[in-house]
Amino acid sequence: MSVRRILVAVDDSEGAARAVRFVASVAGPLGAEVLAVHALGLLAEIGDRPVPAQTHRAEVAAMLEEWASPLAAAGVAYRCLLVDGNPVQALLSAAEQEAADVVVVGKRARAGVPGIQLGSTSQQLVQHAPIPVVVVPEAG
Amino acid sequence: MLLVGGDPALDRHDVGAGHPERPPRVEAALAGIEEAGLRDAVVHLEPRRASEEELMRVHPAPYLEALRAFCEAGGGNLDPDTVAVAGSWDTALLAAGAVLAAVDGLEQRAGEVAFVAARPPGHHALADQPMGFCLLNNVAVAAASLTARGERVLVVDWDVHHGNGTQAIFWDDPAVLYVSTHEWPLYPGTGRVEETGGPGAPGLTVNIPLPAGATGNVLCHALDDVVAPVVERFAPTWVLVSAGYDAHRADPLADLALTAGDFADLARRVRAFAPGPGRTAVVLEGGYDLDALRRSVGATLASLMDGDYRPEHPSSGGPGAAAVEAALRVHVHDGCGGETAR
Repeated sequence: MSVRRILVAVDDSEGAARAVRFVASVAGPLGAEVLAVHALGLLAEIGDRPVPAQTHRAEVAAMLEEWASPLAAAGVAYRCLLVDGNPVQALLSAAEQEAADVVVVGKRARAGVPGIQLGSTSQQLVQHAPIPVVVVPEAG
Repeated sequence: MLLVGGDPALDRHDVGAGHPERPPRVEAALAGIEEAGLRDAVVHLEPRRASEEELMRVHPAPYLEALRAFCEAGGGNLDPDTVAVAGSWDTALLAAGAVLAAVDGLEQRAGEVAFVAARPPGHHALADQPMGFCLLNNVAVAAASLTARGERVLVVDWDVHHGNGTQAIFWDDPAVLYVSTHEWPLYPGTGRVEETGGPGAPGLTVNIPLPAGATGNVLCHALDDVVAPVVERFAPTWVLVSAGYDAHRADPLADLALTAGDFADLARRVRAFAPGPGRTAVVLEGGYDLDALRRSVGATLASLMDGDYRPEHPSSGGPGAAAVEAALRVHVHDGCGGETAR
């Protein structure tokens, strides 16, 4: 298969930053376009407290651009996309609508809770995504 | 009489300063009853916890066990929006139990209408996943208890956010008609007009996504022209309302433009969907501006109890007519199916 479009999940975490750096290093050689996607929940972390996400869309969009800036620095063709929803559902929906060939996420330090579908976005994506998922580990 | 469930004194789901889904919401909702002059009509329901058997009609046992253990261990972030603390499990059991008690109270003819002011809210909670401030799907648990007895349940969800959890739980269930009006685009990203139900329940999910700025007259138009014909075909024996008040124009989490007076108009229409008195339970979901919540709850319940309390004029003139037309095409003109009463 050819990889023409890479979806990378971005947020304020170190795991997401690793994922962006990884994608920035491989997208050029692959000749792939990158979609940097952030899932907008009910609340957004701006400063040191949660604020209503809907009324702070512009600030979150600006943060998204900043999180994706390593892609610009690497000279990669990319777009930023804000998608409403929980991370897993939003990323799967964006991957389908944008016809992405692969999803890249960073592995977060936080463990999931057994029995509850939560915690590990990467685990759930691996379980549910119809396309390949790359999980960038902490040492990546 | 107006049956009222929910007791702020038992609420131990306090996830910290700055979170909009906070304990004073219940007090504000209950204050709305007083402000609407309904005090003498109120019968308080005895608090009770939902049993494992009742919850398991919706939530699988491993999910319930994991959530209980997570809370007992002190809790933490369940997703970027949803937080649990040690007291969350018991508070969630009481919230689900309050809706069950409301249904039982109505069934015993103790009142004409029931209102449950309990939290955490429920309509985003999936069978095996908490999300959007929700841990247990309170309305779904009550609806499932009714369908287990052979009832046909209409769930009207006028929270500004789509009730993805309730929709998913009853997606393929011919005994539940799920109707949602919500802002679009907005969290949780579901609720497109094309989402109309599974193969076992075609047309029994009705989504009316509305643009930011939509006013009350648009929602009333949607209920009159889109929802009423579907409800008539479905012939519900019960009506449960997922009553979020975050569609109010003052709410900080969204951008619809309703007023408290609009909720009186919506409530009057929804009551008419029930087969008669004593079959309508209104359950608090979202709503994060405390003044708007108080006034809107008061207006809702006054309307349902034939009272006259409209602290704000109804709103009109906002966008959304095209969205209602789209839903009309899907559900009425094209007729995407829909179970009729057996």
